[in-house]
Amino acid sequence: MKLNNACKIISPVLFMITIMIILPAPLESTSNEIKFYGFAEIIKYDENGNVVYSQTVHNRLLDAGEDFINDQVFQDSATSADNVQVAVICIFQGTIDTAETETATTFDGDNTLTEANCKEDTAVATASSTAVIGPLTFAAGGTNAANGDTIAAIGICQPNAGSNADSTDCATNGILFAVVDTTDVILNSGETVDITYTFDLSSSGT
Amino acid sequence: MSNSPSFHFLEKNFLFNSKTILVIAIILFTAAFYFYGTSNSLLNQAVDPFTSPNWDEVANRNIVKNSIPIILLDETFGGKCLVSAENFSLITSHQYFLKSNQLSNELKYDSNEKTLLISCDKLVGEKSALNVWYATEEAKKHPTKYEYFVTEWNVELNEK
Repeated sequence: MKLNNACKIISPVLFMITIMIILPAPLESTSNEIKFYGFAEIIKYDENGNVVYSQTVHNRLLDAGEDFINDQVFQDSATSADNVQVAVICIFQGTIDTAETETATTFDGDNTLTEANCKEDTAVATASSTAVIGPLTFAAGGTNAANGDTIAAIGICQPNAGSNADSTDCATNGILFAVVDTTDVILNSGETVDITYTFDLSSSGT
Repeated sequence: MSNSPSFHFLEKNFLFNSKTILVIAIILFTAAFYFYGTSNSLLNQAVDPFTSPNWDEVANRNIVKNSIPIILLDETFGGKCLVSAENFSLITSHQYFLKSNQLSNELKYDSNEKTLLISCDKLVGEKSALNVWYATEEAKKHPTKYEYFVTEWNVELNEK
């Protein structure tokens, strides 16, 4: 009798689980998802050159960045010489706005760093459908930030057409392509961070 | 459900006893499990919150990867080791990490001493690397899940 009752309980449960196995989950299909994305890797070193933290985190590709891609790929009235194509990483202190409408001007306006916080990679590596800016090394002590400043985000920008030197803001150079909201990393005297930005266009079919 | 009219109807009219029905249920369950799998099923979705993240199912852009050095300080009771984790807060303070408190509690993070309690079996030497991966809220699969693992501290990779 007990076995009968157990069967009467277990059978419906098994039938239900079987139905749950057969029925597909009402998830959005991921096959149509846009595959390309950008991400930054930030590595912090102490004053002795030892790694104390590393983080890999995705970016927010901005409207201006999407327009820039279209302008570069398709023939229209907008042209861009090779020396003003995206190649700069700017470190940022403050509260980052990751809305897609963020611009270089608002990025600079919110950035409380006053040193030459933007660095250019004069030879961005492009291969296998990816572009890699950096690693670029940012230092405290007045070089790219003051001692004790906090890197809260990074911006990816166009370079200055007239100079490869470190610069103080993104807007002077051109558009803000993407932003990355990183963990708040404090740069004390002697400490540095290496930042690499990767933009990956590879798809599963290529 | 076991005492439902339809169950009795089956028993009476088709001479099924409950053991036969159980056997049929087991066969159907096994066949469904074998032929359909559970990866995209309603069942998988139902149990997903209770399973470990499968990083192959999460888009790269939805994974945040962190790594910090940890240094062995002391071995405590129960196979747990006290380790120094000076920069653990850099991992937990990020706004994308929604379950950071859960990890802090799991590793018994002492924010004053900046220490963690980790299973001694997981450590690889005096100095190891604590890696913490988590999926962002936007991830289609395994959103907000995290996983930590300890790897060898690679001097060549991790020191300039």
